[in-house]
This record gives sequence, structure tokens and C-alpha cells, in this order.
Amino acid sequence: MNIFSHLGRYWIFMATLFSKPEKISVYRRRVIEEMESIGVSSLGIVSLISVFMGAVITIQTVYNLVSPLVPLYIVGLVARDTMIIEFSPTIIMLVLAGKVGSSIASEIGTMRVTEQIDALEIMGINSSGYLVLPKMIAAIFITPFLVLISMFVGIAGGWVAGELSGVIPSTDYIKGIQYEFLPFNVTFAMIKTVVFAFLITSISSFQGFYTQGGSLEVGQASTRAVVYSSVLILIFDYVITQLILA
Amino acid sequence: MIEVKNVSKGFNGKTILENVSHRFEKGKVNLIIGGSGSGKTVLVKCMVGLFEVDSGRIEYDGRNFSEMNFRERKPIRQEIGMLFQGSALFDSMTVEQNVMFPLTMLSDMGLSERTDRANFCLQRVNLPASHKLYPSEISGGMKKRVAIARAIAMNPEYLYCDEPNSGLDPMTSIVIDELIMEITEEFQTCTVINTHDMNSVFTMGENILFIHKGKKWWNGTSEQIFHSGNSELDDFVFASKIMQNLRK
Repeated sequence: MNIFSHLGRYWIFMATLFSKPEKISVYRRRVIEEMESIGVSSLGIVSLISVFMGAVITIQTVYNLVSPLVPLYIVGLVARDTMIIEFSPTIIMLVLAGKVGSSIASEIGTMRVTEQIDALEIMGINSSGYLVLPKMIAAIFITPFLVLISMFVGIAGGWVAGELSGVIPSTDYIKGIQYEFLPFNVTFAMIKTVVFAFLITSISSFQGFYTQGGSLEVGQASTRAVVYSSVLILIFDYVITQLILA
Repeated sequence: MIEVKNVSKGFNGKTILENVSHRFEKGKVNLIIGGSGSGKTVLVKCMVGLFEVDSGRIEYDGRNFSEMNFRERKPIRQEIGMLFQGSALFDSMTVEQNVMFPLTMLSDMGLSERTDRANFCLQRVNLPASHKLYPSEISGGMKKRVAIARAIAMNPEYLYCDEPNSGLDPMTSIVIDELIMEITEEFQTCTVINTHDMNSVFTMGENILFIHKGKKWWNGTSEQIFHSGNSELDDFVFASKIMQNLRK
């Protein structure tokens, strides 16, 4: 199957998501459950990665600042902007593409090969809408909070690392993270996050939904979901940056 | 009553079903039998709308199902219950939630009414004390019974069973067959069973359709099967030594 037929199927799949839900109350409950599954359960890994990345960014920036003409508080500024503009929205979403994307693809793929999706369709339920739409809404709503937490934890991680290793005094770091702060950078990060959340959930669901075969194919669908989501996140990162910041 | 009229279906240029016509009667257990790859599962999937027919039509009490779109099919789909080969229970839900699911999604019943209905269905399939268990915690035979309970939860007019005995021991198979017969009689459903279990054929075969090479090859009752004079049917039904001895 060529790329155009895949794209065609993807858009047809997307169109099926937005038909009228059978029961709004059930969909609402599913959105909340998915927020827990996608968001709350990812909080640990997001915080862990963010704190260490913030720490590494800080130490590496100090290491690379060889000129005495550059003030030390620049380290705080670099750590802040790296976390806000690129690290939190992009790298964290790449991590979520691995964690959440593979989970969505394997869950829906398993439902497909064990005929659970057929069972939904025979009941007259819009299976794609019931299974995918709550995940998509939940991810779009909850991932910006994860990214905001990542920004905060990452910047805090940089401060702790600077303080513990003694490479940058707290006063300089705190001055740096307050220096010429542009609130639009956070908005820009949120725009990217929402787009990436849509890509992860839609691509992973699509891969799972059209799985054919058995457990081997479910695994392959899961791998494809992660690879395609990650590649598209990187491409869209470039496109959005070009469109908004250039 | 379900009528299949001149149905043909193929995949990638290969014909799987060719001009199949048959009438499945209400209040009876209708069997579809045939060898592996004969096209019986494709026929059932066409009948429930999981596959679209290439030509011909499927009628549910005179309503042309084949020409309807997804929305138009909804009322008919809500009259269909289906027991899948692998049970197809939702892993994330308990037994009770599985049975209640179609009621939750498709009816206006309140929680207590839905719970009562689920309890009734579970008692009907002799599973009164498994409500809070998950599908992974129950046996294959119990899963089939839960799937039957879910299939009858909406009081279906049409009940489909895809290989209901596959993977079950002979005793449990008999229990499931008896349950399907009782439910068919009690609810007067038009029951369609896709099977190659010969015990089911002889105990439940009120209206048997034999599919061979994608065509309707023979139809009749379990009594008539002994004297069909159809060599392909004989080869299929009396393939084992036991069945050959039974015939003698």
C-alpha cells in the first residue's frame, strides 16, 4: 500500500471519530480515565527525565562558557529557554510517544485481533469514536500540564545541580531564569504540545485500529506507532518553529 | 427471519462467496457448516455488516441491511447479539460491566435497572457469582457464557454464534449448545451458528446450510444429513471413523 492510500485511510479514520457520540456521559467518564492513564501515570517519568536534563543543561552550559566576558547568570537563561522552548515540549513529547503511543497502539491493536472492536461495531457503536476520541481529548488536555511541570522541574533541577556542584551560585542562576523572560515562549511551547499530542494519539490509534493478524502484528503496529509519531513530531517541530518564530 | 439473497463476496480478485442464497428462520437454530476456508465466516461477517457484500442483499425481516449506511443500520444492529469465537469480552471491564455495556451505551435504563438486567442475564447463563471478576480471571467456558449473557442483554431478535464450542472441552460444549437452544426457544431469536462441531450439528441442526467452495452446496436438517446423497457433505460430516461408524 502506498503512502497516499495510507494518508487517505488516515483521514477517513479521523473523519469517523467525530460522529455524534452514543452517550456523552460515557465519553466524559472515559476522557477522565484516559487523563489518568496518559497524564497522571506519566508524571513520574516526565519529572525524572526533566530534573536530570535541567541539571545536565546547566552543568554543560557552565562547562562551555569559557569567556569571562559572558556573565554567569546567562547559564540560568540558557537552561530556562532550552527547557521551555525545546526540551519540555519536544523531548518530553518524544518520550510520551514511546510510552503513551505504544500503549495506545497495543491496546487498540489487541482489541482488534481479539474481535473486541468487531463486538463494538456489531452493537452499533462507533468503535473508533468510542475508543480513540476520549484518548485524543484527554491527551490534548493533559499533556500541556505535563509539559508545564516538566519546565518547572527541569529549571529547578538545573538550580539544584548548580548549587550542589558549586558551578553557579543560586543568585546568578535565579537572576538568569528571570532575565528577559518572554511569556510567548510558553505559549509557543503549548502550541507545539497540543499538536504533538494530537499526532501521538491519532497515529498510534490509527496503527492499532488497522492491525491485522495476531500478537506479532500488534507488536509491529506498536513499533510503527512510536517510529511514525516520533518522526512526525520532529518534522512538525521544525515546521511550527519556522512558521511561528522565523 | 434473515434472508441472504444471491450474495457474492471476494477479496483481491479472489471469489470467496458465490451467489449464496438462504433463509434463516426465526425461533430456530440455523447452522452454517463447511470446511476451513469454505467461506462460512465471510458469510456471517457479511450478514452482520463487518464486510460489505459485492453483490446481492441481506434482509432482516424485509429490511435491506446491505443498502443501509452505518447510521441506518444502528436500529438493526441493536437487535443483533453476537457470540464471538474468542468471546471478545472487554478486558478492562468486569463480567458485570461487560454484560451491562450494551445497555449503558444503547439504552436509557438507569443504573439499578441495568444492574438487574445484567444479573438476570448472568443467572440465565448460570453464572450468578462472577460479577466482579475480570475476563482474565475466568475459564474459557465461563467467558463463553458471559459473552452469551452480553449477547442477550438487549433482548436480541437475531443471535449469531461464531464457533461457540471452539477451545472447549466436550462437557462444556454440550452445556453451551444446550444454553443456545434454550435461549433460542425462550426468546424466539433467529439464531445463526457457524460451526464445524459435529455434535452441535446433530443436536441442534434444525436448518443446516452447507457451504463448499464459497457456494451453497446443500441445506436440510440433522436427520436429512444422513441421506443427503451429497458426496462433498458426506466427506465433510463423516470424515472421522466415529462418524462413519455412527452412520453405519
